[in-house]
Amino acid sequence: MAMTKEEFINSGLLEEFVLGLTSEHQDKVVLEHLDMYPDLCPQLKKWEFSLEELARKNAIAPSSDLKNRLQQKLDFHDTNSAAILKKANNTSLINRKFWMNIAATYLLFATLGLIYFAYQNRQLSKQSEQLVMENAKLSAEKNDLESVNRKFSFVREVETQVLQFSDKNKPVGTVFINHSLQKTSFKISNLASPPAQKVFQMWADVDGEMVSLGVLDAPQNGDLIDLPYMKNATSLNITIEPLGGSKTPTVANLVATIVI
Amino acid sequence: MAVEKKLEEEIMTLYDKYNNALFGIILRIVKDQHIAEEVLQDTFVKIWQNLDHYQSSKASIFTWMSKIARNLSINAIQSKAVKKAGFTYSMDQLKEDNIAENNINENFDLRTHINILNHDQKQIIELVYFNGFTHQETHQHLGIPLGTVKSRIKLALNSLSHLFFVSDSTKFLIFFLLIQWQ
Repeated sequence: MAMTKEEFINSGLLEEFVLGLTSEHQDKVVLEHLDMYPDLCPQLKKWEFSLEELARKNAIAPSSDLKNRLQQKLDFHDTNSAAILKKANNTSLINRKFWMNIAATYLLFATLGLIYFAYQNRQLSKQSEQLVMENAKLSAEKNDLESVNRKFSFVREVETQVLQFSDKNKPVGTVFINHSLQKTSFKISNLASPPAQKVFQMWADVDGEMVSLGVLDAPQNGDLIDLPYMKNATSLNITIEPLGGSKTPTVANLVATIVI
Repeated sequence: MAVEKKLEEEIMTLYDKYNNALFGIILRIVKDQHIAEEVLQDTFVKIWQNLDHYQSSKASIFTWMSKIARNLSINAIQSKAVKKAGFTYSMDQLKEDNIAENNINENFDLRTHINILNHDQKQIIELVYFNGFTHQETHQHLGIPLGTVKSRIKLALNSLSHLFFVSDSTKFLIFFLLIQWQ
């Protein structure tokens, strides 16, 4: 039964313990109470040290051959001590096994830990690579959007002239002309695909002469295409021409026209 | 073989360090050189057998070893007395005889340092440390209250602590001053 600190001090058990007078049960009681009241440990250490010093100061040397006799008594080959040594060896081996088990467990956990961290590291590297790629993709998309935004910004200008390009009353696109910025763009909205081996070609009527503005290379509805700005153009036209375009328009293949 | 060698080295290291101090205790109890040497050998055999049970966190190695030595010494004088008398000898009678012998033989008086203790404290240490009396036995033997036994033991231990700790502090102070002076 646990004693209070005061009761334990007054019991005199600590003094009996240090003097080696306690039974095994009392030893257990003392050690339990020292765990409960660790501030008593320094006192115990002091007393232990003092009694050891007292014994040293009053030491008496035994016969000089006693050490040899003891060594013989503890000789491994001697049958009397063989059992002792066996027990001691077993204990050491048990201890060694115990520590080896501890070490093996530690190594196992360390290895598992390393594998786990390597796996995590690999996953993070993959994710990092993906993020870099996505970042590059987003940057490209951002550049495209900025480019489109720049293209469309002029479209929203007040001075920009907006004209509908029609083919037999069916709109095929919208032309934006800004004379201040000297810029012309064509937004395709409903242009059918050209026949096989043919392309659409844009023309401007400048002072009675048809000037090529270029070939519409694989046009897609929704595309906003920049065209060369022609200051004195009076009309814009789209014709169907052979692949690579023509030097002069094939009037019979006129698809759409718009008067500026 | 390495384990055996290591164990042998361990026990011999303990022997070299503590044999004189333990022999001093044993000889004062058994009063016979030959028996004391037998007991010292048995003490180290027992230490070897139980070394794996010793827990350094619980008590100092000397406290543990001296307890083994004292118990084996008391067993030895009990056995000697039984052999001599041819019948069972009471432990109290045995201790009475031992104290009587101790008082007669001046060679086994504590020679140094114990003089720092007063008569009562010295008597208590002699009884409990060198004759293995419990508090109860000491109270009965001296005819003093149990509380007085306990307080005398505590005072004796504190006086010894004071002596050795002051002594060591003084050594340290002198060493420190010498270092400073150089």
